Amino acid sequence: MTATKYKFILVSMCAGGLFILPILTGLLGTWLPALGYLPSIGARQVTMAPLLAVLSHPSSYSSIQATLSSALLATAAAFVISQWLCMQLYSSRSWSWIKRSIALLLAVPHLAFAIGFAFLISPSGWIMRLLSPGISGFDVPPDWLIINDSYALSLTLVLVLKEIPFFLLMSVAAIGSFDVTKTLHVAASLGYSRSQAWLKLVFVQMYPQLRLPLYAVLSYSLSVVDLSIILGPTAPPTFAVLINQWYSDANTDFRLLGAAGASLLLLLVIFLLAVIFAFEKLLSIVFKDWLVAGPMRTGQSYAASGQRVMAKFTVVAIWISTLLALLVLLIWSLTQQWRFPLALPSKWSLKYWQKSWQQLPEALFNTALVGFISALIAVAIVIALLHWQSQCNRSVGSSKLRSSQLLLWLIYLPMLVPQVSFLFGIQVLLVSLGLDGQLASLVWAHLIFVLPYCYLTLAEVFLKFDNRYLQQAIILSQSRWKSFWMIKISMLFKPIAFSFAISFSVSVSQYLPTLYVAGGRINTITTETVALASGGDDRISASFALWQFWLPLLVFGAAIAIPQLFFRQRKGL
Amino acid sequence: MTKIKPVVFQLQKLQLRLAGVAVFPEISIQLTAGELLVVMGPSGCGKSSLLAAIAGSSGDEFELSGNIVLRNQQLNGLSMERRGVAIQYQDDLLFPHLDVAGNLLFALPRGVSQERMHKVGQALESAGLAGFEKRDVATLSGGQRARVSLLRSLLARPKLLLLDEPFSRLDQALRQDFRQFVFAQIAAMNIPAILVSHDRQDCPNDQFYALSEAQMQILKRD
Repeated sequence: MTATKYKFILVSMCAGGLFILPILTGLLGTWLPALGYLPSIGARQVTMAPLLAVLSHPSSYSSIQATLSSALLATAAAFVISQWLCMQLYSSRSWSWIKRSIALLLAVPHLAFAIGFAFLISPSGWIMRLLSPGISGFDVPPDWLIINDSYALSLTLVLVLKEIPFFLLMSVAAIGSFDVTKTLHVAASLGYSRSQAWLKLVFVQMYPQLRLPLYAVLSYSLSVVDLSIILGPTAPPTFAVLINQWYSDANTDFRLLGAAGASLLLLLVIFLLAVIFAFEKLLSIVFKDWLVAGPMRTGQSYAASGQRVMAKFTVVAIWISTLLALLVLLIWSLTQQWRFPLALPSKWSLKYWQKSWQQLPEALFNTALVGFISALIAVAIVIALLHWQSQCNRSVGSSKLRSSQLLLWLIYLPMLVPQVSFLFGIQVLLVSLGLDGQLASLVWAHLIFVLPYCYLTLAEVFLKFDNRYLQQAIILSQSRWKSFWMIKISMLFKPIAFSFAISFSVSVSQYLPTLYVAGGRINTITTETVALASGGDDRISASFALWQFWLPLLVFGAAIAIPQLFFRQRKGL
Repeated sequence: MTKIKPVVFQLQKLQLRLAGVAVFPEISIQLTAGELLVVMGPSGCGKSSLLAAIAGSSGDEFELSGNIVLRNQQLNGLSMERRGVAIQYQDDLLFPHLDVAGNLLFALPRGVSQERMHKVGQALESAGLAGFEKRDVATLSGGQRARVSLLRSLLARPKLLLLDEPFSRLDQALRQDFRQFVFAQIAAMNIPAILVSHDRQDCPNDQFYALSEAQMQILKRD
């Protein structure tokens, strides 16, 4: 044991204390009201009544049904499609392009995309306008329920489109951790077709690294609120939105119902994750013999090339849907008048940009401030954590793997636990401490969700960093501090800046934490956008959604440009 | 009469253990100023671990016994930045975000900036790299990088130089050239050096220390 290791444990405990403990407190603060105990509204009797009330509530059943079907379908589809894309396109000419474009796709916030996508596919959306009246024959928008459909299909579709890039990013990282090309060559020389080789050798090795992202996406899809408000069913809404409505009901008795619902949602998530875990185990037993059953000789090169073309089309389709969603937002934000069957607005105007600009300065400033501070703190904590972790890893032997697995689960915890199932408890805690609605509390609440992404984007480069650079620097300069800043941090400046941008954009996209912790006193661009999108003026809501997209984009641009400016003459970085 | 040079570096009964198992037999050696000791042995015999122990960069899992003494100072337990021991690997480890001058300046003690730049210029000139100050290290050839890297180590004025197979990445022609350069620099600095190697051509006077046998051996020419 050295000082380094103690420091690492100390920092981990601080990070854990600041972020894991509050989640547990938040959970407890939700479970107690779920059991009827919430002294602030005079409920002191421990009872099962709230839970039973949720189960017998007329909305619950169909709400949970829509939630389950959309979440399971979206997660499964996004996961399968992303894996199929990797299998088809890895080592093709488009692969390196795809790798680079994923980050761009991820930079488009879910919310802005959802609003733009709704403008595309709704009965009065752009697509229908382009088809009308010529092809469709409609002079007025048809009375179809495309957005807010009761099966939550439009919500599912948007979730699929947004989660595919996330799974692709995680898959690219997993693929990078072993030599896939050689594996495929060996398999091919043994007579395996590419798809067999991929399933039996590559996917099987990738999956352990995809497990937590998969769980996180499922939990997110089950509990997402902002997208559901825009796209999901309305009467009743998805379960998380229903819980949210109960919480915000004027009648405070509904808080107990909300807490009970939130606890049931958590149980549902845990149950489903357990089912998936069991399913994994089952599959690995069932397919144990199949893995080593030998190559299946079939001549299917024709079908294989067809699949490859389809995979390319899929990627292009994702891109087109994203670009069209952004374009239609831009058009709507510049519209003065756009009657239904016309393909483009008949009158254009900058009025709504001016209007949104007048309404927005405060929200924009809050968003930028909270995003900046939380990203800065997250990057600082993660750098300290990873630096000490990398110093420790050099000397820790067999216990290393298990402890880093544990660390990974802890890092993912805020992504695995549905936000709605502990934010109420945190709100109760903050209100009782008189800390609700304050900037510091909001920054801290955002940090809980920003930190995991910050850690995941920096972990690989930090742990792969050749420690001998630092060692050389220490020997040469005789100063650890100087070596750390001038060598390690400077050499890793590019990924650090990128991680800062990711952290910033995660903070910008937080809806529920802002709502619950800021208590309406601090509005961000995201809370304003959701408030407007559900029943406001399309033109204003389009310009708000674009602001929600610009702001992180601006930070991404700076994060890429600044390191390049600094090191423009350095090829070796 | 040749003057007997004083011993400046010694390993006294040095032993390195990993989980209780000795990595190599006990070592006792003495080096005078300007002397180069070549250490050879099959791969995995602990050559790099020996250098790491002397430089102070080995991990906690290694257990060290015996003494490491440099200029009458006991090095055991001293942190690596206070040992005055430079270490050179087969990778040059030039800092990619700094230019050539930046890399060299990093190793120079604080002082008047003009003097420091002058020293950098002198060092580059001595290596046949005059005027390379503003070059991006990524644009240097392998041989040039190796020279800059060694210059950088020496500018920190180490009291002992450790070389961990520094020539193995270079091709034959460059290797001979760089080897001569290294030997000349060691002689000029008048510091002891330990060179770990696979290549028998690295032994300047046909002698080497066989780590697994724990004794000096004469190179057999065949």
